[in-house]
Amino acid sequence: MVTGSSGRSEARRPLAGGPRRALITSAALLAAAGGGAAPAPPPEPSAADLGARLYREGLSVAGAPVPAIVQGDLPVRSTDMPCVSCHRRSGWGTSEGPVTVPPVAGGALFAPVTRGHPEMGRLRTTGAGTRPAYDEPALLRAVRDGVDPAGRALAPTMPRYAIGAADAAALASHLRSLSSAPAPGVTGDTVHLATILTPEVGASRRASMLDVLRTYVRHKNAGTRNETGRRERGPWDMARHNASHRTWVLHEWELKGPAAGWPGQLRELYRRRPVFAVLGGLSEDDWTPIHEFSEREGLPAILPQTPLPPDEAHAEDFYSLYFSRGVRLEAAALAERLGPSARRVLQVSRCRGPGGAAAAALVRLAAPAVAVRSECLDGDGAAPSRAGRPDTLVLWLGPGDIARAQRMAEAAVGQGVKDVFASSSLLGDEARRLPAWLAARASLLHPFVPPGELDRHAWRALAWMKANGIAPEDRPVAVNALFAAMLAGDALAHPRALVSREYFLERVEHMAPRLPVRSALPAVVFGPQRRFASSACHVIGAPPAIP
Amino acid sequence: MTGAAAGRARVRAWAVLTAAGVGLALGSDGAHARPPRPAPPPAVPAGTLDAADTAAIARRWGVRLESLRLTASGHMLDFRYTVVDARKARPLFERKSKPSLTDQASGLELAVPVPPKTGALRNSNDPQAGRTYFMFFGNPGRTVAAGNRVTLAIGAFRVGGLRVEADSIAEAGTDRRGDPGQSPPAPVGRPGPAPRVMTPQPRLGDVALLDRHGRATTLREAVDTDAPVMVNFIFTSCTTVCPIMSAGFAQLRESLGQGRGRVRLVSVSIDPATDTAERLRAYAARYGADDSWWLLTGTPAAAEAAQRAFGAYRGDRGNHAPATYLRRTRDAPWEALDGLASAQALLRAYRGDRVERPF
Repeated sequence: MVTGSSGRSEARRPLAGGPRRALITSAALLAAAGGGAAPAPPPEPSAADLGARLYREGLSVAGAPVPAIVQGDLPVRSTDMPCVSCHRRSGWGTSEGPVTVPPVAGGALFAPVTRGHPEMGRLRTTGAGTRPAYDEPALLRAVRDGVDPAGRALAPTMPRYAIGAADAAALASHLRSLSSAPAPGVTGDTVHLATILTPEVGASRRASMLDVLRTYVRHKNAGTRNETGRRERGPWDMARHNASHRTWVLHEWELKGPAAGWPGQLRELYRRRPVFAVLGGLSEDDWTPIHEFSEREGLPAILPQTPLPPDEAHAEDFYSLYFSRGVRLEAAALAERLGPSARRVLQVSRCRGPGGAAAAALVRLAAPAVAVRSECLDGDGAAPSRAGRPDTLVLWLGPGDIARAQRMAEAAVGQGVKDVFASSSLLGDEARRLPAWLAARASLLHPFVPPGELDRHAWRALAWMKANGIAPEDRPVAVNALFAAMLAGDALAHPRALVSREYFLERVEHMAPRLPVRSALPAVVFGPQRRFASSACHVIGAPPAIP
Repeated sequence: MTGAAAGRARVRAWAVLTAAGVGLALGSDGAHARPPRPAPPPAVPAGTLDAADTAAIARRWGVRLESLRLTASGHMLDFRYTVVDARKARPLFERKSKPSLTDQASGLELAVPVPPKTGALRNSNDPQAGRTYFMFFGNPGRTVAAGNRVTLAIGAFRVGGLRVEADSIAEAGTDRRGDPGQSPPAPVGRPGPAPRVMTPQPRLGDVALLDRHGRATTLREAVDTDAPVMVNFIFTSCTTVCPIMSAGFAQLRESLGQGRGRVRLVSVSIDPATDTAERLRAYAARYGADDSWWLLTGTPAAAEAAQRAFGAYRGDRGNHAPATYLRRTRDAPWEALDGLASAQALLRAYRGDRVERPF
């Protein structure tokens, strides 16, 4: 939690709640400890809550950082290296370079490792070997003194933390809760997945995503239908390998009406058919309500395509992974492009939604160095007629609105506007066929690979579509959908992926840069605190006209 | 020698004991223990070098002594040494020479066990510069204890005043009772790896980088100082390896006290897409880095070029190999300290007295 973003190590935001279990925050704990004047003392935090805070933030039961020694003699602060930084949110461990971090999730830790254990070699850092099950005193000894229940020293990369018995008890209680219940949406032979579509998405983009996802799932199920049998009757090594195989069932969740109603619809859909994860998804609107639903339920959401993922307030969230920050990334690239030189910018957008958010982001990033005037279009109104005397025009407009801005834009150019910018995230694939009046003079803010390079960049994905008879109208959407599906497919193939949704997400993080197919973005890289894969945005001079 | 290889050597030593019984180590066949001489230990013969005189040992014999510690529950001594000049070190690998270790307190002479199946527990292949080798000595009756001083003889190679260290694994495994409360845990473990001279030497080229204030600089400029320089590769969202490396740099600065500004530390990001100057500034604040600790980022291509200059490029971040690269003066060769270094290993490397602790 802490280690990735150094800036927040002192004044950290309170923890976001875990799935279904409201996790107490540091502030609440302080209030509980202070007692006295508080009008209604909050309920006593449970041992598991305190353990979760120790695990994720490195604060002891008493609320203080814990001194620690790593690598023999290096002092570190527990808040800089809490358990979660290496053992990860799932408790199933990780590896980096030569360091292998064994699992500490309750099921693995509080069980003995005996000869013939299938993962004997992975369960300790200092080589294969048996050990008795951990219990609370053993956990204390391991964390404090670096000695495992077999009496062997843990690797020096495991810090020795000066915790006490109460901390160990709280920690044990948290570790027991990790992967303790089977993940929703998984049965003995099936894993249920959903993809989410918001109502404003047009039919051709909808089909571009759904054709790919449906075909991928059909092929995957056809190609792996014998793996259940292999799991049960195969050679012992393959039994483990196939342990996570399930038939995929893809549910298409089509949201209706205004965004205010989406959380209710999602709750109902999820109640009727719990799913293990959300695969892809498509929206031309603000994704925040869906993001918040997914975070609340602890429901992984892999790479939905939206121009407006949630803002900085959700920076510490865990369960949703995005291709990029969408229009906010475009605004940042534009602000950097404009630089501090004296400029007069006029930007035009819808009042609300992604366009409005982009305009607000540009004001925040570029002003006051750059004078930015914002005009907003309401649903049916005309573009503003009075353009002032700007030198730069920014059109945060989708394909439906851009035509209405023509008269104003041309007037502005007549009055001395030199640079015109338009947004690829809002125009969608329409960016490739801009109207002639705009194509001639607009630069495109484009957080994807340049349109002319998609064939070469994503040739493998496009070849897959051709082989399967899919000719999507919106090729970037289709390419990204296939990337999401294949990424989830690779991550779910891991023997332990279904044990824990958190571990599934960690596998997705791990697999993303290693996937043979490419998305329509320059690079897709995630990390413990990196939920937006790409931070590259091209500013393309004049997009090539499509005949 | 890598940790894994050291582990294997240790396992082998155990296997010998288990297979042949303790009698072997007691000297029935391998350790040619002689009865302790009644007279006081003989004077150190002429031509014996002092273990603390690392420069003379390296000059004459082309080796660096790493450690001499008890192992196999005290029934053996594990001697480690690194070859810096293979030609000069060759006599130490001569199969016919009979290495011996003389305890200065008791006069007891220890030999290298020669179990029938494995052969002598020492290395007599062609030495290679930069590699660390082992040599085991039987310690019958566990006569030689931690803290004893011994003289090592291998043919004409004679070094006196070596101090025997305790078995670090046995130490770490002992139970420490009582609740330490908020006091930091006691340091455990070994002194860590010793540096090796890099071959080939880094080729710094013209790698354009940005510092944490957004100023343009180059890799060459970052290490352009007469002071000792240490370079490592990190990324700010790294959670496993980098916090340990950065804590190491921070602790080195702490140990140097007022002299901290005299060492130039350079940390280059291997994830420049995420590591903006702003993130580097926050990272610097977290580890108390002032301007003598340079934190650098750049384009992905530049970050890769910087890693390649040091032979440290490992593809994606997940394969990140921990290492510290150091140059003690402007004219000195670059050395590499592989793996995660303890504070002591960094301090030793900085001072250049690589065998401070054991001898």
